[in-house]
Amino acid sequence: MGPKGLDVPVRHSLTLDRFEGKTKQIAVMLTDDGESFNLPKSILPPTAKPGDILTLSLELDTEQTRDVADETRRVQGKLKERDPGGDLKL
Amino acid sequence: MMTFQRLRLLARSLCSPALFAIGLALASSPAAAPAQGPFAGPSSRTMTVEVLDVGQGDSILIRSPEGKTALIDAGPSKDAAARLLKRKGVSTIDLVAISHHHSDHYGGMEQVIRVYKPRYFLASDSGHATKLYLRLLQAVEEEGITAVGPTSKPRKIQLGSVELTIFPQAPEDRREENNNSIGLRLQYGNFSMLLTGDSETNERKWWVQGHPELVRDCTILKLAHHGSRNGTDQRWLQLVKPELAVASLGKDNDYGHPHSETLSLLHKNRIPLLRTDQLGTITIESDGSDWKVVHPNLARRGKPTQDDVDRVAASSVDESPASARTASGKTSSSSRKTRRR
Repeated sequence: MGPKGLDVPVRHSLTLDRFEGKTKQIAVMLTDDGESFNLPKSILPPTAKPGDILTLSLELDTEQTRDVADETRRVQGKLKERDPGGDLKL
Repeated sequence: MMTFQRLRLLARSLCSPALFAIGLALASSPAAAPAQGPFAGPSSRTMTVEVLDVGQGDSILIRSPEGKTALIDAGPSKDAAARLLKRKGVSTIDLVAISHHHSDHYGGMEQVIRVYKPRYFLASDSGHATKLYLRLLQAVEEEGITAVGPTSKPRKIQLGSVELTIFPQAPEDRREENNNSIGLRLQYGNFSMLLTGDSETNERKWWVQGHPELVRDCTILKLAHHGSRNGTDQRWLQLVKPELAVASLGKDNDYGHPHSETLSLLHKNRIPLLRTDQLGTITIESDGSDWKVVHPNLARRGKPTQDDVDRVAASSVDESPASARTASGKTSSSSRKTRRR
């Protein structure tokens, strides 16, 4: 866990401005400050349409972060055992 | 040998496909080719490096004269690299390498692992983890592939007659994964190429201070970090002294690669640059003595007219200061002679 109080979810209010792309799968989102960025339409609520206001909530998932890091270390360790060492001739 | 002026012209003439085709045609003119060199067509002595067009990412295919293959990185998308390899007729891969744990370099590697089951998998043991990278490692484990990594001393991999040297790894940078990139030097006779993933200033400085011999005097430099301002610096260029730089990046990418600072540095050092966002896949062939850039799509456009050749020759005259950089001092031939290293 990070310092107390810093791991709370961060919420952003966004307006779905429009859909773009060949198959209209790119959702262009507008912040209240007028900045825009793209999101895949597939991760939006299915009924979202241009003009809708959505809340984007971001939260650190420390447990999953730790699990992935631990599992990566474990697999790296197992793979390292296979290294024959020294120079290689293929 | 293609003169430096012509190579520069070749790089500059990207906006003029006809002129670019001429440069290539000059590069492959059999009339000036070495009697038994590869430049009348690939021979059993030809080694090939292809900087694959995978969009905004890296993927580099190396083929030894003996048919051994290595793939350094696999681009960002899930199956583009594997598809490209199939299209190129690659049937086996001996070695795959992940320069570092960023998805624009390993995004397509799981598919390559599943399809080709390479003999060796080279990666650092940096702790930068993502679910996608973990899945790749699990694929390597499941397929029973031999994993290898950098060691405290330079480690050599003999890919047939092509030698790859894995650089010692700088101390792990836990804040910037780019600085955990694997460094590789490809050597084939007098031809060499430097591949250092997305290495930023700190890691390059570490190599320059501790192992300058590994980076010194390389024929071709793959720009680190897609031509980012943090992937190239003056000291690096002075040590590497490349005759040509190549950059792998996507057209109109969001990051502004290549950065103007990098382009200025290359210009200042009179190093021509070839870019995958402008050329698509860039193919370089060498017989260990000479080397040339091949671009199949443009090469198919046919022979240049005499007018075209005259235009190239006339333009080359204007580039006279750069002629000091030609390898052997000759001013016209078919391919470039590598400097003695």
